[in-house]
Amino acid sequence: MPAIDLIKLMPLIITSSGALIIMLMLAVRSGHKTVEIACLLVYSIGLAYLSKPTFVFEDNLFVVDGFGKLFMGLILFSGLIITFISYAYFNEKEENPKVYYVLLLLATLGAQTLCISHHFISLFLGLEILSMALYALIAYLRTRNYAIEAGMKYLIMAAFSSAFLLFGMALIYSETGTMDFAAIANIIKLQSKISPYLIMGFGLLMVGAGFKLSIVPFHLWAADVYQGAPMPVTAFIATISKGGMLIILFRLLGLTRLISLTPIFTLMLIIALASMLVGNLLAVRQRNLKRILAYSSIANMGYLMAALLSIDEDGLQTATLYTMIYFVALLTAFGVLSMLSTKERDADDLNDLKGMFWQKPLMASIMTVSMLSLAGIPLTAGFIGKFYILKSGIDTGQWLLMFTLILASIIGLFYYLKIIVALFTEAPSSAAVPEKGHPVYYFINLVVMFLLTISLVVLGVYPQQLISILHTILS
Amino acid sequence: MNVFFYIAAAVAIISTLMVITRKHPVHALLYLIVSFMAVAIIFFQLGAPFVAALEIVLYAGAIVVLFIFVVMMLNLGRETSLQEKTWLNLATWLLPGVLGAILLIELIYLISTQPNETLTIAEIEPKAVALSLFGPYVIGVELSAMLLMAGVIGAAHIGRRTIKHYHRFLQEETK
Repeated sequence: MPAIDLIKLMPLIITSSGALIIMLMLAVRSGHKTVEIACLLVYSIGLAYLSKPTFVFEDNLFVVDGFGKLFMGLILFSGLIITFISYAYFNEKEENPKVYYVLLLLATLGAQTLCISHHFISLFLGLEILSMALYALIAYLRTRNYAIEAGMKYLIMAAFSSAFLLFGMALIYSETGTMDFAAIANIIKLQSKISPYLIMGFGLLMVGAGFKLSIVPFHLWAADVYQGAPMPVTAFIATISKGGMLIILFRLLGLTRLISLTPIFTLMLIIALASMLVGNLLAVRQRNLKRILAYSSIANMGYLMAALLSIDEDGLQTATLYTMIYFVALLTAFGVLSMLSTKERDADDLNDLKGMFWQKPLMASIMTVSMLSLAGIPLTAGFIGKFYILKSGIDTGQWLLMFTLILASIIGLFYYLKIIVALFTEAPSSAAVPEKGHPVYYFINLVVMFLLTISLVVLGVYPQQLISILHTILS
Repeated sequence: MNVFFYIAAAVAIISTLMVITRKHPVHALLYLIVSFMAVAIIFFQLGAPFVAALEIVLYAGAIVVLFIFVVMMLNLGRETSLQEKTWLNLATWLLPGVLGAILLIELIYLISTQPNETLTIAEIEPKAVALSLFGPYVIGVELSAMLLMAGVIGAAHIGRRTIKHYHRFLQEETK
């Protein structure tokens, strides 16, 4: 690769050099605040660079196109928000919080690599960087029982699913002789009858991908890991880590239209149906907020797979729109929860939210809007996302999928409303509200969350602009 | 030759089964080395001598280094040398030894009958590997560097011990 081409991969270079610079800053013992601001700067520079229009660049490992840049922007934006909420959260904790930012940037680098990869090698490298950084991030507060358990669980499951992924790749490679997504699709479409090795290869590939996305039946880790990880890391797993894998699926199955092939279509249909129903049903009886959000994320990944299945009628565009809206709503919810967390424990019980509206009306309103958006109530962005999924599903005539989606959404409404009801019930008692140690950061976080909430409402009322932007990028 | 593939594969499976059923980590590691060697023989047979060498150097070699570390750290006197003797008695190393000997015979036979006519895949030289690693896939190499960095930093954080600073007089008091 000539040196001039390196400039095309600038978003990756910015993040990785940011991680290196912060590591060097740790060596000279910079303060927590300096490190956090440096991390914010890295994300902002990355975002600023992405907003510049560039030509499509393609080499054997990467393709930097509008789609990839959009997802990369989404990932960097989520990283920026997570960095905002991390300072107040980690400053009070018993661990040295500075290494966290290096790992955060490295994990982001992995997700960014996934965004622009169209080759199995870059896919696997990106996935491993992401997982490797996440092992340590999940167990970051390593003296807590749940953290180590969650970290071990994630480590074993991720390593195991990587093995499946590699075996799937090997089967596909042995059958097609190439590791490039587009070339694989071309060869498969030329075959009159798809060979069983290829079907098996894609099945094994979906085990690896399904683990990262926590779709049924690979969802068993989700609730425990969400619960055990520190709140900002949970937000990271729910957004960035899943976003990276989503775009791989969009590229491998969506852009190449491989999903229209019957065996792959059936496989994804079963996964989508099961994820939507199982995720929502499991969430109903939960009282732990992190676990509720984990199960809700399983269901939401099911909705996304449903959008991907209706590829013939703007399915990809719908899926991208839904991903963006889902990320914003989740970041808002996790932001509020991490602001409520105290030094000793995360605010992850339903009782922590009881009567919050009467004490902190603004935060309770933010949480309400976020939950309404996740449930898909009109006037919030979540409704627009679900509406478009339904529209493209009905246009392609997939009635079973769409009725399941509606049924699942109704079940989902129950637990989202449970959270909202808890916010507005009578305050239990005027227990002394612990004084926040970081009034400035508290205020900044509140402003950021408020802006995200505004964007959720605005997108819910005027989605036209965003949709037309997506349309120009994807067509 | 197909027969050789099946012998090496059987050795690999047997030794890997032994790895996961042994209770003692040192015994498991012995079998793990045999398993790596068997995989290396398979690679060698398929026409990838370079990968076979890497398998031995990187995987089996790393475990031997681990062994040396353990021996170095535990070499504390007579009791430990007795302990080592009980760890490595005849029953322990007989089966790995036999499996290793099978592999050795196979390797000698394979080398003595070179060039191998049954080979269907072109042999890949180290030079070709290097050229593609540092040519079109150089970004991949750099990304693996970041992967290792993530691993090292994560391990350093998880494994770090909090250093407690006692005053020397206070420490004596607590004794």
